[in-house]
Amino acid sequence: MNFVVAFVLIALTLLVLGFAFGLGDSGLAGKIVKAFQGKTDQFIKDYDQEAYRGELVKVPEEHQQAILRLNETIYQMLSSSRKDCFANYAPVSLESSPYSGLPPLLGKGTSIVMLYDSGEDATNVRVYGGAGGEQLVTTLLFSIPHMHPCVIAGNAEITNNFYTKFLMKQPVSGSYHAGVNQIQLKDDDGNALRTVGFGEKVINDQEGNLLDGGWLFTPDNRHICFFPTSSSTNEHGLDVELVSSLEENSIRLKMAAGVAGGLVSC
Amino acid sequence: MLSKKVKVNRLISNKRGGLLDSSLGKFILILVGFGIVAFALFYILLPKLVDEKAPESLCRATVTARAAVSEQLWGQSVTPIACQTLTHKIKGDKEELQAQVAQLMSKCWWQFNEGRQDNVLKNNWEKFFGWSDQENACFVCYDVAIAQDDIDGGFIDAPEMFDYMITSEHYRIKGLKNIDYIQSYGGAGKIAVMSPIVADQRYGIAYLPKNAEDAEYNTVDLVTLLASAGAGVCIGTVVCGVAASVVAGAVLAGGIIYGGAHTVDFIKTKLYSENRLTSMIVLDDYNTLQNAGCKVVKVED
Repeated sequence: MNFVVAFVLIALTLLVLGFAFGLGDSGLAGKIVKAFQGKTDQFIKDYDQEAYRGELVKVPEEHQQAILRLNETIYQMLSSSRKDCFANYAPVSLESSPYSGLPPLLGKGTSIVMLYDSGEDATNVRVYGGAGGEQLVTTLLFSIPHMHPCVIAGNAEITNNFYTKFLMKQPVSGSYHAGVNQIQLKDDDGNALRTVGFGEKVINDQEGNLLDGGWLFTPDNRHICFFPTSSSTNEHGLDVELVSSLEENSIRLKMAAGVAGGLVSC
Repeated sequence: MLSKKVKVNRLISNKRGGLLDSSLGKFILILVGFGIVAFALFYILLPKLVDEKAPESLCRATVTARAAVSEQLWGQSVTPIACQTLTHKIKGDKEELQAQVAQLMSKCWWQFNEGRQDNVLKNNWEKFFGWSDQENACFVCYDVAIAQDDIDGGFIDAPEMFDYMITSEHYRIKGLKNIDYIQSYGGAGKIAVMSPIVADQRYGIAYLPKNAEDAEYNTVDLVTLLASAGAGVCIGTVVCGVAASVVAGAVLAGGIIYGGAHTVDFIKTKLYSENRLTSMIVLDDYNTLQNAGCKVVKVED
C-alpha cells in the first residue's frame, strides 16, 4: 500500500511542479514544448524525408503532350487568314472506328477546363490532375487571348445547319455553331465534353461523347469549336460517324481528300 | 469465514502475495502513474500553453506528435490536438488583403503539418469502434474579419482570390507559389475559395483533412456478435441457470441495440458522406463553416 501512496505523491508532486514552473517560455513546460518541437521536427525529417518537399502536381506525359498540341492548334487557327476552316490537334491515327483526339483521360485522372473571361476577352485553360484528379496542374496554366470557345451542338438546328453547309455543301440560313463560356474535357465512361448553357440534359448527359478525332472548327478565327458527338445528328452534336470515322461524308475523310473534299484547312 | 472487506484488502495488499506485491501489480501501478503524469502533460499543461506566444507552433507540434505516437500505437490517436481558432482583424487595400489572406491560408496548412497525415482530427474512440467520425470533418484555423468599411480597389471575387494563390509566392519560401505549397509541399492538398471577400465581413480559413476512413465493421462488432450469439445459445438451451439467463438476455439485448445502431451509422455514412481524396484549405464565410460542422476552438471566448 505504501508503494501506491508513494507513487501518487510523486505524480502529484510532478503536477504541482508543472503548474508552479510550467508556464512561460523559460519554465518547465516551455522547455518541454521546445524539446517536443525539436523531436517533432526531427520526426518530420526522419519519417517523411522523401516527401518533405513534394513534387509539383503533374499529369501523365501523354496527356501533357496532347494538351500542348491542342494549345498549338488553337493558336494556329486564331492566326489563320481562312474563315470557316478546320484543324486537327490529334496525332495521325490509323483507327478505323470513331475515336477521341485526346488520349484516354482515365477516371479521376486528368481533366481540362476552358473558361472564357469576357473582361479580358481570353480563354483561360486549366488542367487538373494529381490526387483524385482534383489538383490544379500549375505547370500547365495558359490563357489564350481573343479566343471564345464554341461547340457544334446545343440544338438540332445548329448541327443540321453545320451538316448541310459543310458536309452536304448546300446553303443554309441561321447559326451553325454555339458560343459557350465554359468547356470541360474529362472522363465519363470515355473522353467526354461538358459545357454550360444548354442544361444538364443536352450534351452533358452523354457518356464518352468526345469521339472527335481531334477536329476543331473556327468560323471566324476567334470562336474555336469542339465537336461533341452523338449517335445521330441532334442537339447533342453531330452523328459520330460524320466526325472521326471513315464514313464517306465524315470530316475526317473529307479533310483527308484535300481540296477535293471541299473543306478548308486553317 | 472471511468478510468481504477482508477479502478485498487481501487482494490489494497481502504480505503473502497480494496483487500489489506481485510483479504484475507493480507494473500496473507504474503504468497508472505514468498515465497520470502523461495526462497532466498532454491534457493540462500543453493546452495551457495555447495562451502563450506561439499557438500555431504548438498546434503543429501536437499534430505532428499525434502522428508520431499514432505510428507506434497501431494508428490509435492518444495525444490531444492543441490547436485553436485564432482571430485576426485585417485591413488594407485589395492587394494587401489578398496577401494577408494568402498568408493565413498557408499558415493553416503549415499548422496541420502540411497535410502529411490523413484523418489527423479523427476521434480515437469512434475509430476504435468503427463508427463514422464527425471530429475529422474540419477545423477552423482562423476567424478573419475585414475590419474596414470598404476595400480600395473593390471587393475580391472568389476566382480572383484563387488566382492570387496561383500567382503569388509563399510568404517565407522563395520561388514557391502559394498554391504549390498547399497542393504538394508535404501531403496532397487543394484550395477552395468559396466566398468573395467584401468589407466589414467575417471569414473562416479551415483545414479539412483527407478523409480516408469511414464507418466500418471491425473486431468490436465481431466480439459483440459472438457475445450476442453465445448469449442467445445460453438462453435457448438449458445450459444456463436463471441468473445467467438474465445476464445473457441483457448481453443479447445490448448486442442487438449496438449492432443496429452501428448498422444505421454505417448505412448513413455510405449514403451521405463523401471521402475526401485530398486535404483542403477552405476560405468561406465564417458562419457557413460553423454551420457546416467545422470545429472552432477559441481560448479567448
